[in-house]
Amino acid sequence: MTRALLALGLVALAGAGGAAQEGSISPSTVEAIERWAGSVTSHVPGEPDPAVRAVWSLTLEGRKALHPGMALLLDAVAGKRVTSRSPLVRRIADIGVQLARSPGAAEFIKRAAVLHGDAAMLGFVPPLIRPIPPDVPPPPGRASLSRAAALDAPLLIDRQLWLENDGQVVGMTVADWNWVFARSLLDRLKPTGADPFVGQWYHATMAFMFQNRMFGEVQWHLEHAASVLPNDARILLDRGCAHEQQGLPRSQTVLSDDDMVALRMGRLGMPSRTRRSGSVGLTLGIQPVEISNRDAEGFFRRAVERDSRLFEARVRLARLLTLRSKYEEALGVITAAPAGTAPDAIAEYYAHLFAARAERALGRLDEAAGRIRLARELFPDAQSALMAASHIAMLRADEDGAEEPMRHLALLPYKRDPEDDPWWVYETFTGRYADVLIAEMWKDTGFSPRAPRLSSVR
Amino acid sequence: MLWLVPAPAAQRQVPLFSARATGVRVDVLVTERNVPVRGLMAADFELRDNGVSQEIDIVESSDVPINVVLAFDASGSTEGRRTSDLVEAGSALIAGLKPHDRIALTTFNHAVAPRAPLTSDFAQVERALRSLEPSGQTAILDGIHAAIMTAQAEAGRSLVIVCTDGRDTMSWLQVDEVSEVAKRSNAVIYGVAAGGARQWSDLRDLTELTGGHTIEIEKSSDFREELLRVLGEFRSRYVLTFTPQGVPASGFHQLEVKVRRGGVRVRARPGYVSSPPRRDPGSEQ
Repeated sequence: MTRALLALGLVALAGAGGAAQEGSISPSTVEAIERWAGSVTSHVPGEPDPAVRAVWSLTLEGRKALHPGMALLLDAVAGKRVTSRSPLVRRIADIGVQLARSPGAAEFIKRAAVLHGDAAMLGFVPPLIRPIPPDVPPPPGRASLSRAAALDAPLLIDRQLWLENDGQVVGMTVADWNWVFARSLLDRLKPTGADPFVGQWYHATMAFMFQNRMFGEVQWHLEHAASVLPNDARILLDRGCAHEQQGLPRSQTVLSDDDMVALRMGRLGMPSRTRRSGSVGLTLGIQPVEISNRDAEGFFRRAVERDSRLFEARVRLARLLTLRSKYEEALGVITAAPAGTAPDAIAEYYAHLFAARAERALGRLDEAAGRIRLARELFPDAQSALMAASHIAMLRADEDGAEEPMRHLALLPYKRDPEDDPWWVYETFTGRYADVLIAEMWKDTGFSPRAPRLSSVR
Repeated sequence: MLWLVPAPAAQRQVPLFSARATGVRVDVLVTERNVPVRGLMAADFELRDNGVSQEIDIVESSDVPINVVLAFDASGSTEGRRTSDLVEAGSALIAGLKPHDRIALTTFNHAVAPRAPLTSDFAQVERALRSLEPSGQTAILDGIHAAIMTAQAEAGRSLVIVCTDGRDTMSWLQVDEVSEVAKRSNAVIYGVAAGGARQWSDLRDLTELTGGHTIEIEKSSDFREELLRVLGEFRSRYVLTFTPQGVPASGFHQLEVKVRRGGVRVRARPGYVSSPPRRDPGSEQ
């Protein structure tokens, strides 16, 4: 099970950043802009159509061709006057003006975001593992740089992600630039975050990322979503999930003991080309478990405060509270959930499992056993419930009660899918409705394939 | 902790704790410069239960069949050479067993798989061993729990050997929970740790809780040698028994075992948990 971890800041700017200069607009820039705008207006949401394929075919060179004219085009779409006399600049501005009329500025921006989000989702494949080049800083735990200035050139982002399998770093892969670009497009909708579509798009795409174990990508995605929608309960929940995922043993084992010591001692390796300035930030890879869990707990609390019906936030908060030996509080968080808010059997299962652990820690073994019994009714073959049942029974000196779950386990197939035990999919659980959310998002765009093509703009 | 006396097969039903505890058994390893010391008698030992000196007997351990439970890592990180080395190591250990011994195999990746129960049919376990196909994450703690329960289910001296190359990424049970079970079990747990497992203090602590220890190896080809060393070391242990006197019947009992002789190292479990039996309908009182 290979997973993409948080990037360790190998964020490179391919070429010049910042706004385009007039002199950099060439005839090929205009052609690239025209093609791109045509792709945006012709794309059918959810379809791997020619528009998506055109985006897929955009190499870094292709994006470099687009880049000088992109900000200009989008400014023109937004109604910003262009005073340049350059015919090439004016051509791009005219395209922008036409798009602002039809399909409309906000519509065009949303369509563009959908196109690039679709390109990322429809084009998602299991990461291609590349060996780690010798000149690349070592894996997780070491500091890295992410330039704030990189956001001025979202088309030119060249990001790497570490890949992990069974607790060991196995290589690297290239992150998908479409996500960065799509986010930057939605940022242009003003007032920021006011359009309900923005929240819908983030909810759907975050779910997609969790579902596909894109734990590196989702961190950036969530940080950006939070800057746009800081009080969105779902985003708060997912931010908590992302931090919690980092605190899980399956993430923490990637950090070697040496890395942990370096992190804790504040000794962090810096590339020699580092320079400090106001625009340069410092981001870490995986945080120590205490920090990951503390941050996650904070986000879950806020999510529950924003929406007390968010059962999943309660359940996750309860798990973290038991880790801090706050057992009564953990039980209280679960039992305070409004009736009927458990969204599905898996969420209920987690609630029983975590409550059982809290009860056990408080010495209430009968109550713990009762909770495990309920968990086993929901998922009779789940290994986590079988283990919990056996453990509790041993504490109660119930020998047969301890052995029975193991006899049950012995009857199960050796090869088991991750979905056979809800505990095994805990880190992706928050993305389980990705397909539904994405389909709803596509449907609610209302984009029609009969939208005017750019050929009529010429 | 109760002395489990094997019942004739015809009478063996659902195992129940008997209220008539007859004794506590403690496996003890005595070494001098890492070499097992042999020939010690009961009088050479001093055992204290919660600080109270106890009268002990020694069981002639060479006559007691052993139950060996192999708990092997079958996760994705063991793919390739590590798996083949593990299989060969397990096979070598099987060859070192005596006819009256029994062996079981439990493997773990994210899924714990009891592949062969305790059996004297060594060929069955050999076949199970050679069918390993590594994949997935690593649930070591769940695997250890299952191995302890396998050992627990049968009377006799139980040895659990955990072979792994990584740390736990997927278990539901936490180390303190497995420790609670280990304290209530008769099994002695050894760990043989390669790769990232060598830095995993939880495995070391867990094994020492049972009177065993964890051996760190540099390369997976060392699994074979260390498994055979563990088997030999286990056979050289002394089995002390005593009926607790002057201490509370239930709860955690701290054990202290010494040898009345200088220059030796004594390894034994640091304690055990004695629980009052669960009242079940029809159980004898």
